[in-house]
Amino acid sequence: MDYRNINRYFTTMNLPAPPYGEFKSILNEFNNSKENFYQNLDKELRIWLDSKEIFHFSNCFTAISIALRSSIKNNSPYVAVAALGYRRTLDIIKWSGLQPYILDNDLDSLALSLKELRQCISKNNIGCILLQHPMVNSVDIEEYLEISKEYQVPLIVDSVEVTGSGAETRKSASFSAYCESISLHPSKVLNGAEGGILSFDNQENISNFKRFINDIGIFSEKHNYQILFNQEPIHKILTLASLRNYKNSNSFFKVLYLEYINELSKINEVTMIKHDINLKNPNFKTILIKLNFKLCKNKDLIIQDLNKLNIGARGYYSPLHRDVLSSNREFNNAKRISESHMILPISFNMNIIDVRYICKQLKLIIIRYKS
Amino acid sequence: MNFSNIFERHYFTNHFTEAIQLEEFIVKNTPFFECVTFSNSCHLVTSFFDEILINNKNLDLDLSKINIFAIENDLNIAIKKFLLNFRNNNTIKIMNKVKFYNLIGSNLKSPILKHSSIIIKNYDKVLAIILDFNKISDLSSGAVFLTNDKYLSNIIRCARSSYGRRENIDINISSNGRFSEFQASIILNYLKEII
Repeated sequence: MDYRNINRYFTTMNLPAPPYGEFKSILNEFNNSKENFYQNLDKELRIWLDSKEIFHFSNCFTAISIALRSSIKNNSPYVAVAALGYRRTLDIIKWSGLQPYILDNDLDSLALSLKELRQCISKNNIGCILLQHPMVNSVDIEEYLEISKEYQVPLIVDSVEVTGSGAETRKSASFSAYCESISLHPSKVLNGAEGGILSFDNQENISNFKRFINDIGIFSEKHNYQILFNQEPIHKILTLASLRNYKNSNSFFKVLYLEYINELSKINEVTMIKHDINLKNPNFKTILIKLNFKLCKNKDLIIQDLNKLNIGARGYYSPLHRDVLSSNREFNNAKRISESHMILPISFNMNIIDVRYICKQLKLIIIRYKS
Repeated sequence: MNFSNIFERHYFTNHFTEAIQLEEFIVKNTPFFECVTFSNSCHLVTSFFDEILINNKNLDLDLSKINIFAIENDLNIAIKKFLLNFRNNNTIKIMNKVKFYNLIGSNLKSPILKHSSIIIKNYDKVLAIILDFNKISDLSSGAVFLTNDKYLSNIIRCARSSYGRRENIDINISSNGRFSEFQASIILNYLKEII
């Protein structure tokens, strides 16, 4: 089939959405009994995340901001964060009234460099650590927790797009991190249209967080409900529909993911970052590849050429944050990861023939730049 | 309510078809040329303070012409409490000069009509209005920013998120006020019923 004649666009915005019928049946559940609906939503989310308590927010941006402000220690406004991460990370920190303390990434885990974190925290007054998982697989947080405990600086884990090591997904909150944030944006694992949740496991942290949101006006003690920044009920309904549809969307993405493994293994200049098969429930929804050293300088051109063919490839967490570029120091690892990694499309409207077409085009483009 | 259109388009948020229709509908039914949807009024008020009242001092605004409406008094109290705790002294000083109205005791079923009547009488004296749609539905709320000053509305669009911008203006503290298609659809449906 010649795709050049077909007006299609392959996107990385995978948008896993439940079928409309499923959404409608949960809307009916809500209309029949709001109390039961909210109980079911929180119960099912707690099981999925293996978490003790969940707080809903209008989006994950707000959830992380509030978590940062509630956890900050040592009278310090500084949040230790990796130079390369989710594009709005520094906006989140600024909106929360705090300041980023930017550190380099680790070349292997792609996350915040442990070595830099330890050095930084031993010499500077840091109020909180914000650790973001890479898009594929969760980073092992044990060593981050050790640093967090040793220096009494809270660790907040932003799950970004990963699932994996918990009862059904992951359980980083249970490792005594302060809390974990999970986005419910349509491009993430669960589509709530808008929304973000904070998952807590530690009773002391739960009590502190409750006190904090009450003190700053987010929770109304008078009415016993969250008056500010709560996730809209309609978005909660979509979240539950999406959660109940998770296994279906996961199976769908797995088929495309496996085809990508097969096709990309035929391109020597590219390494696919594979989901860890030891995880209980990887979500297969991100196709992350690494270009070999010689091709890195052409990464942007390769993406441009793919985009011209309606293949919506994009850089991995790039470009670097404006503040990172304007800072006085070099972040060599972040720069290298940004230059070498890119994301290929995977979305609800694709099939394995599309995956073959995308990989074929990528191979042809790479041959051009190789020569 | 029927949300099948949203599922058919497979586009759920970021100021798409329904949000644009809502903004156009409100502009058509109020004396304001500019309407910007926002996820909720606390985000909107915070962005308004951050970017217009605090960071854009050169604008030389008459603070007495700024009005913030919420349908319930408790919401106004909560927003003020949040700003007092989440922002610095500059915000607190300015906050005391801006009018926060609550519409308790008025017809809660028709806030836009109530607001419109206030606007029509006095809109030449009003610089900007922040209107909250809390309690119009069990399913969703949302907020809008109304003004006749294009520059102010562009600042708010840029502070809201990277989507839906009409002009690029450098923002110091960017927010996340993304407004979903579901919110837009619910509010639009409500307004069409009452107007």
